[in-house]
Amino acid sequence: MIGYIVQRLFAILVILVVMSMLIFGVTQILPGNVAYVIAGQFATPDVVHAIELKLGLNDPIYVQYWRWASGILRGDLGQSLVMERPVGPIIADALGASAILASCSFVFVATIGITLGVIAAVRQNKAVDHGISIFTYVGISVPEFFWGIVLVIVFARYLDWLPPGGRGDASDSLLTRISYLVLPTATLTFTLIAHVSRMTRSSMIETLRTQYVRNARAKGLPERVVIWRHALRNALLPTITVLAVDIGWLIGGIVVVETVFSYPGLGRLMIYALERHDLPLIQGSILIITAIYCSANLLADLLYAFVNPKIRYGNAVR
Amino acid sequence: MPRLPMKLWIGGTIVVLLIALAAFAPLIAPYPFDGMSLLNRFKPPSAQFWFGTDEYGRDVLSRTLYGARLSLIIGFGATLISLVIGVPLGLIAGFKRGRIDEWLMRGTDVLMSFPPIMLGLLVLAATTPSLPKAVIAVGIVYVPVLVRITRSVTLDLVNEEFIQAAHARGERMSYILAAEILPNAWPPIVVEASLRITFAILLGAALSFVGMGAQPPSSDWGLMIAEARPFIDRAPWIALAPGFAMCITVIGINLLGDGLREALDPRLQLSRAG
Repeated sequence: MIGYIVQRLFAILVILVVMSMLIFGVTQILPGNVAYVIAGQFATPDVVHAIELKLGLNDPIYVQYWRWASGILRGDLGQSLVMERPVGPIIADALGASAILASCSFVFVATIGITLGVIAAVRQNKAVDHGISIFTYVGISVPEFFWGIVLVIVFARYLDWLPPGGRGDASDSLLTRISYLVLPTATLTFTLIAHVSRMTRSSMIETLRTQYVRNARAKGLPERVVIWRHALRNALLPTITVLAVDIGWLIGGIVVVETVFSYPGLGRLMIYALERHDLPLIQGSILIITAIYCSANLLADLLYAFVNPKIRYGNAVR
Repeated sequence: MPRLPMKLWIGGTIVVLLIALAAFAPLIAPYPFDGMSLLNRFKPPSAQFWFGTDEYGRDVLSRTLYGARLSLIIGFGATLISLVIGVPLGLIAGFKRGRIDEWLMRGTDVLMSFPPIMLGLLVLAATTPSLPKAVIAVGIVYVPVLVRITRSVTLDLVNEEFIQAAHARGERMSYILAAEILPNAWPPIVVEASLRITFAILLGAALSFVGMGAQPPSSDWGLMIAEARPFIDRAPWIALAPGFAMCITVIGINLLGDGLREALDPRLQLSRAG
């Protein structure tokens, strides 16, 4: 197990290094010279040249990459061109906001998804099952930004129950601040729930047919205990993998949902940076988001290997 | 012969209708998709404008109809791109094994370590955004998946007798790949590709929505929804029409894909668990 963990950690490390090269390389061909962005559109060539010299923009690309990468290792992501502040703290703030939104959504996706899946499995081919299947089908077929807008129209504009976007201030009461989270969380949850509930349903159906579930029933255990304690625990294994895949979807969805709800998280920050060609901010935010994505995947793999000792590195063709 | 699944019928009908609407958009649409009319701004749905008009007085119905073209182009175009790049790479990786396989697999590892939308944005970040570039970006995002699927199918096939026979006859690698392996590797690849179409439509719309895909005055659905956002309190219909159109499209293609899989894969019919 320890060998497996070390192997995976090393693989992730290599991937991160290659990824940082990719991100750096791609952002280097971005339209709009950084020096022009800093100097503004009325700058004279002299000014632009001076900025280029100061930032070392004429150095060979590997020198620039090394400067950037070694900066990251020291915790320095550079200076945002548009906001004129260090990138690190800007990203840290946004990351905090995103983390709250992501963890709320993840908790709801997991709990509601698994519950729906179990109910659908127990009531297989009954009306409830079909209802859940249609509900999740619609959720997965609709882009999150459209759900976001529908929810805003209904709950913010029409009913006026919840704020349409933003995050609230530190001075707001806890309840007010939670109210800002409701719509984005609901949007993300609804678009992600289908995978989890479907996977739980099918693995539950299989588990419910097994001998030990029949045994548990024959022992006279209450149906509630049989389903939630005995069957579900064994049916959860495939669900864990799906939940891990969902983390990826969650990170993708969060970019869009934050834009819809003007929620000041990492995703919106990245779009903002892309729109304004703020190179260091683009590089920093993409790098951090992908790094989180990788670690989430690693965590899921480890968890999976931990729960299921049959899975070991190297023999699974993915 | 089992009767065809219901899903196949419903999905097939929706998709055929959609393609027809998209193909004949210029004939069906009552107005040009970019025809502005300042006298008719923000008109709610009426007999004259079935789905209302937007901030420039453009007819939302016409724009939505033309948007179907773009959505289908993104879905099928991007999938085609990932097939064209991914399948040959997967075939070569699975057939040659060794170092080239190792490199290709590590390459897909890296690409799959990006969240899909991030990879799309990274590709688009390098250039000024436009719809064709968004199609290419979305296509590239799904290349690694197709490489892996094709590779694993190829791995299963290379040891079959008919491939060994082709080896013994002294056939060239390109012939074996194209004429012997590919025709037998198709089914799982097609199933995977059909899944990718709706992912591609949704990803393309998301890219357009955040401003990194189609550009105004295009009537891409994602872009239409993004442009409608500031006006949702007074003119919600501008966002709702393309939104519902997208739901119907994605549901239609998904149903068709599911139905095809059920019809083609008899194992699924026996254990209709998932």
